[in-house]
Parts: sequence; structure tokens; C-alpha cells
Amino acid sequence: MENTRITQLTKAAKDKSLSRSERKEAARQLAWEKYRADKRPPMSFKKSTLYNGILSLTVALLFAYMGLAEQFDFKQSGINLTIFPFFLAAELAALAFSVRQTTKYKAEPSDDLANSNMDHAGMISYAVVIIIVSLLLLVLNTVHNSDRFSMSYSGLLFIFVSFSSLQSALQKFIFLYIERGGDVDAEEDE
Amino acid sequence: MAELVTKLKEYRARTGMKQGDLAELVGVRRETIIRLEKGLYNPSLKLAMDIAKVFGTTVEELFSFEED
Repeated sequence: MENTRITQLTKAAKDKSLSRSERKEAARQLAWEKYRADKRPPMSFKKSTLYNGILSLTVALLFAYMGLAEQFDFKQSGINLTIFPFFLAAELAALAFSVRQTTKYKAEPSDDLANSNMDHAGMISYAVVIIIVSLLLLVLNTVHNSDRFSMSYSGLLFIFVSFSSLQSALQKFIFLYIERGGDVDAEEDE
Repeated sequence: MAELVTKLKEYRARTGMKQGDLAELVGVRRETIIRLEKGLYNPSLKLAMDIAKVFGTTVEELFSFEED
């Protein structure tokens, strides 16, 4: 019976004859039906958000370092041999842990409240990233005493990926801050 | 200013239903049910109707607005 419902919702979520909001509602119900049918132990949405936030942060740090290494030519120095493996190991460890958690536990789907708080956190994170970029450009302008700055294409790509990952990480941590309070994993107060 | 008041906890106690079970039934997180019971979240019409359906009652019976 569960599979029939899942099959019906899967069809409805892709049915172009339905309106966008109907397909979206079907997709939402489908996520929860699959969650109910999944026999694995549950992992709360907040926990999965925390793990994804840590993963995004390690990616941001790794690519920030790669961008700096490209810009300031760390390859010729010993810095690359000591620091780069550390960032790479941290990122791979976070990725391995995230994959392990995803396979071992079923992740709770988001709901309207979570989506609303995540959107709010997203707006704040974009504002923070813009402020960080502005401050960095101001510092560079002051340090170099020049209004020109050159960077290789690969360095630019690394920095872009770094800031995208940073925004993603910030969004998740701000979301967790918004949803703070109330130990959900504690026993219910009946 | 009107405040949302809910009898959700009362109905849960009557039926012996846990927050997590109710959350899973109506397709929301347990945090959402906790916030609903504390009056920290205004539910969508669909969510309110789904919860009322679970308890076999009406939205008006479960949720009301009271002036401060």
C-alpha cells in the first residue's frame, strides 16, 4: 500500500497537466511518504543541516587556500606541502562522514517552517558574503595602494567556489541559530 | 494584538500521541509541532486542517486567536 501511494505521488510530482503548486505539494508529500517507508533510524533536519554546513565550510577553506596559493605562488614554497594536505584531509574527512551519515540514517525532509527559516538565513548569508567581499577589496586596495588587481582565471575560479561554499555554510549555520532552543532530541514532555 | 492559542497539547494528551508521531503523520518536523504548541508559529491552513483531521475535530476547535 505504501508503494502504491509512493508510485501515485511520484507520477503526480512529474505530471505536467497539474499546476506547479500541485506538483510541488505532491513532491513534498512524496518526500514524507518515502521517509515513513524508510526503515533506517532517523536523522533530524537540523543535524543533517549541521553536517552539510561543516562540509561546505571545509570546501570553502580548501578552495580559499587554493585561490591564495595560486595568487601568491605558494607552489614554490614549503607552505603548500604542510598546509594543503591539512585542508584536503579535513575536506575529505567531512565528505566521508557526510556520506556515511546519509547512508546510515534517513534524513528528515524539510517543511514550510524549515524552508521559511532557510530562506531567511539565505538572505542574511548573502548580505554577510557581500560585506566580506567589500571589506576584502578595501583591504587589498589599501595594501596594494593601487586600484588594479590581477588574478589568473584558475585563481578566480577557486575564489568563486570558495565564496559560494562559504555562503552555503553561513546559510546553514544561521538557520541553526534561528532554530536554536528546545532540545528536540530530548524526551518529549508529555 | 491577537495571539494564536492552540489546544494541540491537550488533544495529544487525550489520544496519547507523541509530538514526533503527530509530526510524521501530518508531514512536518517535530520542531514545527513544538513551536505550534508554544504558540511560536502560525500554521498554514493546510497544516491546520491536516492536524484537525488527525484528531477528528475542526480547525476552530484546535486553534483560536485571543486578544492580549
